[in-house]
Amino acid sequence: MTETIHSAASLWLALSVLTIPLFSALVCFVISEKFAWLSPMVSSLLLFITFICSAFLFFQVGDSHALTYSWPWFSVNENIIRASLLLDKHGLIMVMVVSLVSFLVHLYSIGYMAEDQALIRYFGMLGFFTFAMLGLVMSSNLLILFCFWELVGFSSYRLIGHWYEKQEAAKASTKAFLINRVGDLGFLIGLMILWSWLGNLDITYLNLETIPTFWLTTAGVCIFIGVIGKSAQFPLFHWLPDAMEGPTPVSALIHAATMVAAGVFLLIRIESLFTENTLVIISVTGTITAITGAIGALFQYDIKKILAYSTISQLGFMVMAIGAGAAQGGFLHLLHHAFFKAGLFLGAGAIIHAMHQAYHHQEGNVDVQDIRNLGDLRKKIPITFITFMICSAALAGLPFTSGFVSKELILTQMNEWSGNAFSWKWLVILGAWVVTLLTPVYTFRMVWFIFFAKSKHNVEMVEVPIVMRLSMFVISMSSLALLITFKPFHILTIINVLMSLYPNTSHLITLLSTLILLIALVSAFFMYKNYELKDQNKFLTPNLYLDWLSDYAFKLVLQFAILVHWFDRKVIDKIINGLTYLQVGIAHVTGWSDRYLVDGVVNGMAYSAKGIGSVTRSLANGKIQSYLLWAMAGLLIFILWILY
Amino acid sequence: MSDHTLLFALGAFLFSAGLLIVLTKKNAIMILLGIELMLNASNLNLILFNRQNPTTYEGQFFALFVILVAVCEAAVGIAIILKAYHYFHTSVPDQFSDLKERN
Repeated sequence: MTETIHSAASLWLALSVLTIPLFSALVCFVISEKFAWLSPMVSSLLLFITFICSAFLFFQVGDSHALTYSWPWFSVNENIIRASLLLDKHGLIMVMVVSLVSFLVHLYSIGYMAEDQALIRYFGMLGFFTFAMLGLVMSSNLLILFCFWELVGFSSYRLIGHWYEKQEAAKASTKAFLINRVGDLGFLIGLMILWSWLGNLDITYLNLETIPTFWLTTAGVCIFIGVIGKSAQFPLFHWLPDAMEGPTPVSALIHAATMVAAGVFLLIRIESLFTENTLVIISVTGTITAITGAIGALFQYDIKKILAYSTISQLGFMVMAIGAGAAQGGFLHLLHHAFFKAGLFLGAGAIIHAMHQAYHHQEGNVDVQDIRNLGDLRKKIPITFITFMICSAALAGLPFTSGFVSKELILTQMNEWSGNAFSWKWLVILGAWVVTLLTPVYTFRMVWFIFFAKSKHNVEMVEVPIVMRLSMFVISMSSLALLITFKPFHILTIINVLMSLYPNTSHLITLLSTLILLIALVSAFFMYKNYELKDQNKFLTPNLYLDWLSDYAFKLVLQFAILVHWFDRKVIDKIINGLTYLQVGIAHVTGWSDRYLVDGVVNGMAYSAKGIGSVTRSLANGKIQSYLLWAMAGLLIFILWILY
Repeated sequence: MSDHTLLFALGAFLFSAGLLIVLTKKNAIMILLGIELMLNASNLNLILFNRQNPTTYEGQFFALFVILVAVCEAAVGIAIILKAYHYFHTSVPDQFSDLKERN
């Protein structure tokens, strides 16, 4: 009995967690233009309630068994599609992280977007974005998950293109949307393969024994293509740096909790679906992405683009970890990354905001996002400096930060996975170590040129508004390892659940990675100490040739389309015309035979009936005596028949 | 029995003659006359057959009834013919052509 009450309460909590952000979006969209200033407060408050609900939900379900709720939705050929909720450990932690980050981003946006003209649209889409991501995390049916997946893509498109008056923003949002389409096509094909073999898309009831290995691998790879698009993996990551055209809080949300996290979360959700070969593809793609992203981040000048490439690199790191059997570490890193990357973006937003205010009265146009124009900010905006430093430390993986813990865990688990014999797995491990070496270097470069290097411009700056500082403070505190792993707090359920994710890491690996970290930081210090940032390096242009590659691919597709068009016009149309003529000829023959053969038979039958009729009619000629004669003849025949 | 044979032949002759008249004559009155002849042939036959078994007189009485019926039949028949003559202005049945389709 208590069990039912417990799960009914959980159901209501889960539904309210799901619907409150949607309600927030609705409120923002129906509110009148006159009261537009209300929408930031209202939606922030609603998101705070969402966070409280999700925390309650988490403590209620705790680390007990996963709860599922499902309702029949519609049926196709006796296969019932069920709308279902799945509340398990991973999902609930993710729900909490998403709602917390989203709430903080809302709070931050009150300050950041204060002067924006389209507050209603902005906050409405933020709420909708959160709703879509929460739905994605909680849904158990892959079809519904795919719907939310698309909604996440749609709302990110709207938010990246928030300032659509700017040509770049409009282009960037379209680019993000279209590149995501490529991935989503793969996802959809994967779902179709699964559906055709299993007739069921519910994650909790997938019966994988009935599906041949080849098709399971194909389906896994196809779904992974969706993840490549959404989580910005190797061939399809160039939309993410361009997505920096959106407002900075939106970047924080996209990079931390909602958009790109969806792909990695999906990988963890459907981990049981992946065969050996799929995991190989996943880990290799992740390694390539992690290294490319880290190299890209080394050569950028725009703060937000550095952060974007570091996100690509970190996502590659997580995907590699999941492919290499360190799914637990990957998930933990996803959570930690959500906090410190959101913190970094909020910090970057604060720097941009403060710089923008400072340059407001000056003549000329200075790009305040360019780290060449920044420097020596640590005394001017101390709170931003501190929070940014904590989050950067977590990104670099300094000890006592969350990034350190998950990095150790991933490296340990990957070490166990690779085994002692030399194989291709060692290359993946090597990639992981290269990334752990490169990450502190680019982090140091970014922090050095923002806060320590000598500034070319000397302007008076003021700190950002209190709401922005508050949310930055909360989020940077979440990046400290103490808050998550400190033992005295273990009575709390959250600590218990999170603790269960941390097995013991190996001391050797900890030592080794700390050593690498030190080497990286020291070498970065000496490398950048007296370094002058010059003009853009032509060799590593912003998108690492991927724009050129996709343009080329586009042209190739266009050529192919022209070829197909020619083929269609010249060959297929010709064949169709020939078939038409043949058809007309056959029709003529058929018409002739109908007219002369079939009609002839019918007319002949009619004529013969007429002839028989006229013969028969001549007997009934209306003359009494002829009737009598025939009657007599009949009688005579009858008598003769009787007698003989 | 030879006198009877001659009389049977007479009956057959009378019947055949009556039938021939019925089948060949155009006028309705002549057809009625032929029917009378056939009835008389049958009367003759009834009496002759009764003579084969002389203990009863059923044949003779039946013949009397036939004569009676023939009288009635002649009266009714001639009345119909008269009526038809008034209507069609002819007493030839072949020209009674109300039911025939008009060409």
